Amino acid sequence: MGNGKWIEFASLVVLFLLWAALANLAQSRVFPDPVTVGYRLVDLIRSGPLVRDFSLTLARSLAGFVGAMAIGCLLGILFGRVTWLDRFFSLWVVIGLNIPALVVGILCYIAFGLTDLALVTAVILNKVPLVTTTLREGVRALSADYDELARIFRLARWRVLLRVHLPQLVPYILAAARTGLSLVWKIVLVFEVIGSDGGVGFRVGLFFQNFDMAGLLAYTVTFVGLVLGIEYAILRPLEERSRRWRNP
Amino acid sequence: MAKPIDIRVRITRFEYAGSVLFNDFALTVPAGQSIAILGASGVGKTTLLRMIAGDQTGAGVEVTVGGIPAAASPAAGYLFQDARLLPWLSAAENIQLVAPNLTHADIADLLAKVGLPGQGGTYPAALSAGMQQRVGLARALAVQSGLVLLDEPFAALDPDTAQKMRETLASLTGGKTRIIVTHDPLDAAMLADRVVMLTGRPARIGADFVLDQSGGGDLTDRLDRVAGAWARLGATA
Repeated sequence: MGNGKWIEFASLVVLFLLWAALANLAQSRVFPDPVTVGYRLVDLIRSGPLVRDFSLTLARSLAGFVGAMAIGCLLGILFGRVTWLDRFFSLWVVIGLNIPALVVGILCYIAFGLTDLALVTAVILNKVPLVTTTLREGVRALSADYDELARIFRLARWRVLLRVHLPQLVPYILAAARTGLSLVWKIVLVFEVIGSDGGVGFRVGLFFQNFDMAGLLAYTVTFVGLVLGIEYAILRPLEERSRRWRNP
Repeated sequence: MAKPIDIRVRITRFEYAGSVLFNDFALTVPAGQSIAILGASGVGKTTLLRMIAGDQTGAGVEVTVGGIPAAASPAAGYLFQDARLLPWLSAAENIQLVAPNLTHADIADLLAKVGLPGQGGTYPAALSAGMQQRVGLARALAVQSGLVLLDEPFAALDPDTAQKMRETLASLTGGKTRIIVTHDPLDAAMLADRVVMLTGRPARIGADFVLDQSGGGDLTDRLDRVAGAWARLGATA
């Protein structure tokens, strides 16, 4: 483990200890200590809902994320390349960026009913403008010098796309993925609270109604673990791989 | 080795950024000739080279490379002033990008020829400017063409590195048609057997003469000839 990773690990331990200390100081039912939350977590895993809820939320988030990234990347590349198309749709993108996520979610629930289709559609509609904007900037920043090189050496179109353009767009795609992922989690959870019969958001709603702080924190800890897992197992290795040529 | 290629340029009128860059301009380069095009900055040297490379076209521009319109002709070997390597590709991958049919052994051989043996896996960020330009030269040589186009290839290098590069270039591109755009008389004296000097706007050919590279006269004589012609052109321009 590198020095930077030790610091991050130490920071996590300090956060955990701080939680334990504050909980012991507060001695309140609404602020349980890590051990109580740990027992509740084991209980929730054994009794079943936790794994089921996280599987549901994960599947919905993944569907929304993949859909939004695919559509957003495609639109971003198109808008970055075709000026008139960008001009025509730029206002749509601004509107899309500024409509509250909740409004989109409720509209989708009304239109499609309280279904997974409505939820995933709402997630996609909320996230696509953000991905589109990021990728559009990436396409606009593509190097004209490298395009000239590609033309002079008569590179095939697919080769230009894969070897010249895509590597320049990777930082933008990763930025869109990172910000998009955090946005998707939040939107999915809120929509599950509003109109779903399962998933982390639905369960959090139930915990809220029963003032079950230990359950709420058990889900939060699991959620944080999942997000950190994705960060360290997928996003960071991808980023490091995409940047390795900078510091060979 | 690919056969050397002849080039014909005929420009009735070409405007760039609102200004007429070429008007009634013609240049013919016989196959196998090594020609240096000299001129002040902004005279249109690089534009002319890009026209020959098929990257710059226009209604009044007629350029044929080996009898084929430049834009439709196969790629020529091209060396940019700034090496222009893709930083996310290794040296070998940069070469393979323009010549996908080359084997790893071919590429290793090319890199060895330009003085970079065993550097195929190195990324451009780990190479000096001179080494990057050598990879650029290997990339230009990787293209199976009888034409090599060089756009001020030594302008960004220190004098020693530039001199070594000139020697490498001369030994590896002999027999091909070679066009070098430069503002340095030394490039012309070392590499060209014909010198064309561009001047004015629209650009016209102010001087066009043959340099004997076959052993008649030494480098100093050739350099004096080029520098003298350049000075006279400057005085009359």
